[in-house]
Amino acid sequence: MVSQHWESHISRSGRVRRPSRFAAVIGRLASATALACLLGVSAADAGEINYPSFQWTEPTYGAFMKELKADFEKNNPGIKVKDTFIPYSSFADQMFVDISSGNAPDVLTAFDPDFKRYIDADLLEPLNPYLDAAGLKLEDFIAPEQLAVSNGKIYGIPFASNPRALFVNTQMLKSAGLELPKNFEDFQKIVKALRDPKQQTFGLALSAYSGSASQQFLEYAPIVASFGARFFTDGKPSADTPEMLKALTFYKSVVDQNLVPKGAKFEVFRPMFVNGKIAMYAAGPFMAAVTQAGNLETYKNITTVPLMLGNGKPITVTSFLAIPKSSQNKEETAKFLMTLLQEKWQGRLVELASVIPGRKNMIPAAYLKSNPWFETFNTLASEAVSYAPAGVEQYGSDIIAIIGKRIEAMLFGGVSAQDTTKLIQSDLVAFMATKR
Amino acid sequence: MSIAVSESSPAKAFRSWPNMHLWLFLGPCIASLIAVFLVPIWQTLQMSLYSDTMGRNVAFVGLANYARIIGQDGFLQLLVTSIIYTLGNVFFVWFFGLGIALLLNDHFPGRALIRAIFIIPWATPYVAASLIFSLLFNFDIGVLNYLLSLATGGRFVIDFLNACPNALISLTGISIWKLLPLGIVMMLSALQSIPDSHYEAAKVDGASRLQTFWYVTLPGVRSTTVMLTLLMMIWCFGRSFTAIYLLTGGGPAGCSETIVLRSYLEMFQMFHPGSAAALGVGVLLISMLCAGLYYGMVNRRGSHAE
Repeated sequence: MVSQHWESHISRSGRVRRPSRFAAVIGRLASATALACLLGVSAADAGEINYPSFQWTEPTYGAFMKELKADFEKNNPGIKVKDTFIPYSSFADQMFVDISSGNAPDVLTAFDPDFKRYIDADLLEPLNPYLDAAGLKLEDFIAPEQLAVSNGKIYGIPFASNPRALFVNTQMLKSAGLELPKNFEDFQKIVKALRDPKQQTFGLALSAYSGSASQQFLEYAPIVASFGARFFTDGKPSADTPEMLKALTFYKSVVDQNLVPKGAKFEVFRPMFVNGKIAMYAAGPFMAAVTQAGNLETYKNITTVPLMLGNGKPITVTSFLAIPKSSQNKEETAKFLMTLLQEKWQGRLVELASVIPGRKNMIPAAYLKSNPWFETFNTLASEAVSYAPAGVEQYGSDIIAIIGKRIEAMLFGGVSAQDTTKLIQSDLVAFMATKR
Repeated sequence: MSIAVSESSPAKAFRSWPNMHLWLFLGPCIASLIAVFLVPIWQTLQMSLYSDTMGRNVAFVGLANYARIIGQDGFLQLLVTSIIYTLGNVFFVWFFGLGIALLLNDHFPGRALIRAIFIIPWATPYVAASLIFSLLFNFDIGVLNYLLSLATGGRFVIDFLNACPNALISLTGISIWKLLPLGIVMMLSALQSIPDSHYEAAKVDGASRLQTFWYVTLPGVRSTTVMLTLLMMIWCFGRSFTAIYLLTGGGPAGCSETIVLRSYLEMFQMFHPGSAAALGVGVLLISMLCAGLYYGMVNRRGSHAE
C-alpha cells in the first residue's frame, strides 16, 4: 500500500520527487497566507498611528486623549489612532523593549529622566520641520523644554507638566485649630499635631517604604528640593550641602517618629489623603482631579500652597511626546502631535486633566476662575525645574537608584542623615567618574 | 516496474531511516523548543558580551559586563541574599511539608477536604497572593500589626517589610507558603510508598514513635527529599522575583534583593541590557548546576530501581 501511495511521487531516476499537486496546493496556501498577512499588516499599519500609553484608561488624561482621537480621526479621514493601553507599571519596560528591538510605536511617551536617554541613543526623529510648518518655536514651550533639545534639534514636545505644590486639607487643620503653613516651623507643627495613632490620621504623606526607587524619588524629591537641596547642580554632584542635611534630617525624623504612614505606598496614602486621613501631600495638579473623583467633601476643603520649607525652586514632572526614528507613520503622527498643540486642545487638556499643557499661556481664564487651587500650579510652572538630576538627565534612572538605596538605608537601616549626605555624594562622584 | 519503483521509493528511505516517524512527530516540538528556549538563551549570551548601550550603537566588550557586576560592592550581598532565600525555601518547604504530610497521612474524618485546603496556596496567583500579604504585613494599617498591638496593648509591633532582615524573612515566608503544597504532595506520596510491613516490624522490635520516625520514615522519604530539594533549589533561585518585586522592590537598601530581581532592575529600570544579560547568564549557570545534580539523582534512582 505504501509503495502504491508513494508511486506517483517518484521520478524515473528513482529520486523522491516533490509531490507536485500537493506542493502546489501548499505553495498556493502559503502564498495566499503570506499575502493576506502582508496585506493585513499593511492595511492595519497604513495611516494608523500606534499610540501606546498608560493614560488611555485614566478618567482625566484618558478623557482628553479619547476626545482628541475622535476629533482627529473625523477631520483626517483615512488616519486612525490606535489607543493601545499599557499598564503604568510596565510602560517604561515595554517602550524600552519595543524601541530597542526596532518595533517602535509611532508615539513615544517618556518622563524627564528617561527622555534624554532616548535622544542620546539616537532613537528619536527631530520634529523641527513639523514645528516650523506649524509656526511653533522652542520658546513657545514650557520648561523644561531644553530636555528635548540636542544639537539645535527638537526631539519631543512637552505633553503635560505637573509642578509639585502642597495640597492641604483645610478642614483637618481647622478642626485642630491650625492655620495654613507659612514656613518650615508651621509645617513641622502641623505634621506633629495631626498625627493620631488611634484614628490613624497623619499630618503629612511622604514615601516611607522600601520599593521602587523611581516612584519613591517622585514622592520625596519635592520636599528635598523645597529645602533648597539638589542632588546635582550643573552636572556635578551636590548632595553634601547644609540644605541637603536639613532636608534629610527632617525626612528621617518624621519616619522615625512614625509621623507619616510607614510602609504605605502611594497606592495607599493617596486614597488616605482623598478620604481625609492625611492633611498635607506634596503632589502635582493631577491630585485635585483624583480627589474630586474620590471624595467630593475633601475636594471642597482642599487648597494648594507652594512648598515653603526653604529657598529651593519647585520641581515639576513632565511627560514628553516624541516620534521614534523607526516609526512607520511619521507624517501622520506629526500631524497628530501638531493638532494636540493647537490652542483649542491645549485648553481642553487643562480642563479635562488639570495639568499644565506643553505650550505656554494656554490655560483658559474660565478654568482658572472656577478652579482657584490651580493658580498655585500656574504660578509655579513658570519657575519650576525638572526633577531629573540637573545636567546629567540622561543618567537619571542610575542616579535615582543610587540615591534610593542610601535613602532606604537612612530610613530603615539606622544610618544618620549626615552620613547619608556624605555617602550619596561619594556614590554620585564615583558614578560620574565612570562616565568620563 | 512498479516493484522497481517501490524499491527506490520513500518506503526505502523509511527502511534506511526507521526512526524517521519519530523525527516527524517530534520535529515541531523540537523546533518550538529551539525557538523559545535556545534562541533566547543564545541571544542573552550574546547580549551579555556587548555594551550597556540602549539602541543600535552597541559595542563588543567581551567579559567586561561580568567583571563589572562581580566587582560591584553589593554583589556578594546579592549572592548571599539569593542563597539564603533559596535555602530558606528548600528547608522549610521540606520541613513543614513532611510535618503536614505526616498529619494528613493518618485517617480522620474530612481528610480529603483538609488535603484540598492545603492546595489553595498553590492555586492562588502569585501577584494576588503578594498583594494580600502586602496588606497583612503593612506597618501602620496591616492586619498582623493590628492583631499584635491588640494582644500586647500596642507595645509591640513588627516592621515586616521595611527593616532588615525582617523583609527577607517575610518574603521567604510568603514563598514557603506558596510552595508548601508541593512539599506536602511530594512527601505524602513518599510516605504512602513506605510499606506498612516496615512499621509493623519496628513495632514488633519495640521501637518508640521517635525511633520509628528516625529509622523507618526518614529513610523512606530520603529519595523524595533529595528530589524535592534539588527541584526547589532550581525554582527558588531562578524565580526569586514576583513577591520581592511587588512588596519591597529588593529593599530596604538592597536587603531583599536577589540576583534575578537585580537582573530585571538593570534591564528595565536602569536600561543596562548587557549587565542584565550577564546576571541572567549567571542565574542560568547556577540553575543548570542544580538541574545537573537533579538529573544525576533521577538517573541514579532509576538505575537503583532496576
